[in-house]
This record gives sequence, structure tokens and C-alpha cells, in this order.
Amino acid sequence: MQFMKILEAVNVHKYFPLDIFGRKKIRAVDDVSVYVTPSETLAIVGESGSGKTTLGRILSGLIKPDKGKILYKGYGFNGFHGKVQMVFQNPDSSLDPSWQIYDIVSEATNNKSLESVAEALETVGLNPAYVTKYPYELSGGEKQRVAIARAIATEPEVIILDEPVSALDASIRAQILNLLLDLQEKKGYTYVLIDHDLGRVWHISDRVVVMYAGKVVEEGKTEEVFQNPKHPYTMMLLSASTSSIPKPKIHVDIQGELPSLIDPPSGCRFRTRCPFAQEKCKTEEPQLYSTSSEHKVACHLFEKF
Amino acid sequence: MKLLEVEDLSVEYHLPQGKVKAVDEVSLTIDKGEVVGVVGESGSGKSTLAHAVIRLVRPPGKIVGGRVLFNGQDLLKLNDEDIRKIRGKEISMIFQDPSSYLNPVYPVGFQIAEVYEAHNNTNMKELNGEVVSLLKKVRITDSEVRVGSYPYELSGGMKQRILIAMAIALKPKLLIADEPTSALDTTIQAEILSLLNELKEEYGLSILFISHDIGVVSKIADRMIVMYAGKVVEEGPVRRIVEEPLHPYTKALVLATKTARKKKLFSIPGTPPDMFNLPKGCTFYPRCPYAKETCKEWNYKMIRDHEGGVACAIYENTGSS
Repeated sequence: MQFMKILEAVNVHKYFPLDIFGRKKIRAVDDVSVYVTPSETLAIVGESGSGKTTLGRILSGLIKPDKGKILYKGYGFNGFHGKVQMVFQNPDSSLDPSWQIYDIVSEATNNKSLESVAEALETVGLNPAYVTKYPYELSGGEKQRVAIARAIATEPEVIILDEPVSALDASIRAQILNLLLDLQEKKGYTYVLIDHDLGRVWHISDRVVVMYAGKVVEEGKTEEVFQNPKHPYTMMLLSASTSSIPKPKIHVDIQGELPSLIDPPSGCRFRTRCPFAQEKCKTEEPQLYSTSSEHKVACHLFEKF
Repeated sequence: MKLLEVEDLSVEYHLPQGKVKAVDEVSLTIDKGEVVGVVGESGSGKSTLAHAVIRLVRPPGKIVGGRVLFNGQDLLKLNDEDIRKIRGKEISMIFQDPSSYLNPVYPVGFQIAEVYEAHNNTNMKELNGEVVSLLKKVRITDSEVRVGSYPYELSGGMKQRILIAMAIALKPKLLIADEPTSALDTTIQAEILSLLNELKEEYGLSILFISHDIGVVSKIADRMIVMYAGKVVEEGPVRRIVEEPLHPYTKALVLATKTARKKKLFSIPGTPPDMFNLPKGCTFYPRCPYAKETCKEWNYKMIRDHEGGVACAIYENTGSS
């Protein structure tokens, strides 16, 4: 794998104003930098409210960051021309119910021929005859396949997957995940997987970014982060998971809830829930320290773990 | 005597498109202090089963047969007044989406107090202390302040705790939990599960726990029931089912949770069955990797042993395993 960043977010901020004067703002993404290299799967994990979906939308160009920039192959954002695509959690709301499958899949493409749409449907394991159907005639798994067909129809290089299987039945999830793995193998897609389920992240990602309250708290190779977590929040997530994933060496019991994003805690944002918090954590915000070449953690105490 | 015995319970929905047997002759038992998990896909009938146990099935759904014995008393034979006395007091229920079960315009403390008022005719004003201690029990911090909070001021996890507080207010014997953690984050889910475990230990509470997630059920349940297309296909102790599933459908569900890095996941081919038009014979055979021609003719039968059972033709002649 060549070491090049195909898509990169540099110091992006996204604040959502709560009133028209912008006096109160939800700091959804607060100074975050992430990158993804070609043909790898980067997972972004965190609780709801951690900013992972907002970051995914920034990466896909759907929303613009307030500060910071998005680079595609090193160049600034001027429309990705279909090279960065997105698949959303719930196909019922991401597919227009009044459109035929042909219209849905061909909307973003320049090549609107029936053949190319049929080919996209076949690639995702659907019968090409589905072009004349409407979303309501399809099952949940089939609808998500249509959403994937729409994403790959523009021949993208990066696909942002925002909880792509969370809304599906357990027995269908494996089919869709296998399809995504298949497509990556065949076409070399780069994936950014946003998912709260650590089992799936463990299963398909190469690298992982852990977000908490709008900040990156840990990032690194998936195996490294799961087997040797350095941030207490990562340990807490791993301890809470019901999936078959490595159990962390230090079990961290869950306590408390995500803090206010309007007025986040001083210093380390996790300190209000952290069993190891010290005085320093209150006053000083931890930077991302490198523990090895690719493993970074934002915790003052990382050397202890 | 078992706390709850469900025998051959059947529920049908009569819809314009036809008749659906959502729950088809399901039997199960729950002992005092036992947690029984019910696992299945959407449409498998697990949620209808939960509602049918306390007769909360609404038209077009109808309970068409079977018995629900609670402490030996058949709940299906009670009149409306008597079943209402049992709901909330003896058997209570929590649901997937806590927000839709809380009234947005009343403080949560008031809504909890209503439970006492409805069943004990106590005066609301005297209940503040009880409600506060109940909130403490479900581990809500600043409970003195939180009694006055409105639902919109609380997070999803806290709202679910409020519902749990309501459910345990009158110290019921059985709690029916219908996907109580599915709408919550993994971290909050773990907290709610540990809270339910604690309440079970403390009150000897029995729980009927409905979930689509075999991983969640294995964290809390003692025994598990797997449903497919309205029927029970496997039943047994959680550890046995997770380590050694018998029915091909259960095998698939368990294998699908085994996440090896970058390997293909085991996946069940096909889609959940069309409930209006169920296949004859074994309803799972169109998706079953072990299916034989004879499965199309197979008559549903639960092959039982002392700790559970499986409904699959493969085990028919070998006896119970």
C-alpha cells in the first residue's frame, strides 16, 4: 500500500449555533484531523453525540467546516465530482420513495444508460430488473444495496459509510458487510466506516479513530488500539461492548454520560467520567501524544496504561 | 410452581392483505428470579409475544389461543378490571423507545408518582420521598432535582431509567423488557443491563427480555428462546446456545457475531420470510444450508430434552442431543 493520504481533514471545526446570534454553539467537531490512505478502511467510533457523523459529513463534502480544510489527494475541496460518496444508516430516508430505482441510482452519474445502472445493481447483488421498482417494493437489505449501488455508480474512490448496517436485521447485516468487503477487494475502494458497534469495527477496519465530545482521543491501527488501548475512554467502550472482541487489560466501568457540548469541561473533556482523572486533567487539555509511529492518544496519563 | 407459564399461545393479525400468525403456539416458562431472553429478527413475533403475555395486543391483532398462567392464574380469562390490577403491580413492562412512553408535559417525578396513585390510592403529595429514593435506586444522580425535570431535559439513558423506575415502583414479580437497550448507545446499554441485573438480585425479579441481539441477551439471560416466523425454533440455557447452537438459524445468528478480522462473515442467505405467505413445512428451509427435500413436508415439532429443545428435522431421528 502506498503511503498517501487520499482524503484528509486538517484541523476541522464545526459548531452548530443554537440561536440566531450564535451566542451558544454546540461544538460538534472541535479541531479534528484525520486522514485515510487508499484502499484502507478507517473506522470512526464513539457514542452518539461524539461528533462522528458530523465528521463523516464534513469528509463527504455534505457540510462545510467552520474552520480547517478538507483535502482530496492533497488538493482543496472544490466538489469531489462523485469521487467521494456516502451511504447512510437508514435507506428508508435516504432513498426517495417516489423515484424508481433507475432514477435513484443514475441521479449522480454522467452515464445515465440503462446498462450502467443495471451493471451497478448486479455488482451489489440485485436483479437488474429492479430498475423499474420503487423503494417500497424492496426489503430493508435490498434498499441498502440500492444505496450502495447509487454510491458506486459514480465510480468513487472513497465511500463514507455512516452506520451502514445498524438499521438492518441481524441476519442481513452479515450479507451487507460481506458485500462491502467484496467490493473493496474487487474495486479497491477506500472506506470511512462510522459505526458505534465495536464488533463490526474490529471485523472490517484497518485503522480506527476514537472520538469523544467532538475530539479525537485515540487513533491507530485497529489491532493495536483494540489490544492495547491507551485512553480510558477506549477502554470503557471496549469494556461495554457485547461483541466478541478482545477484552481490555484494564476494565473501565461505565459511569456518567457525555458532557455538554455547549460548554464542555475544562482540560480533558473525558475527565468527568474518567476513573483515573487527576488535577492536571482539569487544567490542561491533553494533546495527541504518539505512543508509537501510528498510535496516538490524547491522555496525560497514557504512559501508565 | 413456575412464576409464568405460557402454553401454546397464538396471536393473529387480520389485515387487509390477509392473516398473519405472528405468534404460533409458543410455550415458555419463567421461574422466580430467572431471566429468559427471546431472540429473533424483526417480524419473528417476539415483540407480539411480549405484549400478548399481559394482553396488550391491540386490534387488528388478536390472541386466538393458548394459556398464560401467572402464579397459576390464567391471565387470558381475567376481565379487564382484574388484568389492569396485575399490569404495573405484578407484571410491568419497559420498551425500546423511552421517549414515546413518557408524557412530555409533566415532570418525570409526577409521572412516577402516578403509578403509586393508580394502584394504591395514595396521595401524590406524600410520595416525593418515595420517588426520590426510587430514582436513587435506578442510579439517577441529583435525584432530588431530577424529580422536577421534564423528559426533554433528560438523555435517552436517563429516560430509560425513569421507565425502569416506574416499572419497579410497585415491586412487581415479572418485568417484561421489550428491546430496552436497542435505541441506546453501547455504553448506556451496558449500564442499563447492569442495573437490571442488580434489580434482579435485589428483588428476585424475573425478567422476560426481548432482543434482536444475541450478544446482549447472553449478557443478562439465564435461558434463551429463539423465534423464527412466529415459532420457537430453539430453547435452552444461554451458555449452551451460544457455545453449541443446534438449529441452523441459531447457528447462523451465533456465527454472525463471531468477528474474525477481515474474514467473510457467515451470512444467512435470503431474507426474512413473508409472513403473509409462509413456506409450507419448515419455515426456515428456503434459507437453510442443511435443507433437504423432506423439510418441505416437515411438521413443526419441538424435540425436547431436560434443559431445552430444538425444532429441526435434522435432530428428528437422532433423538435429543
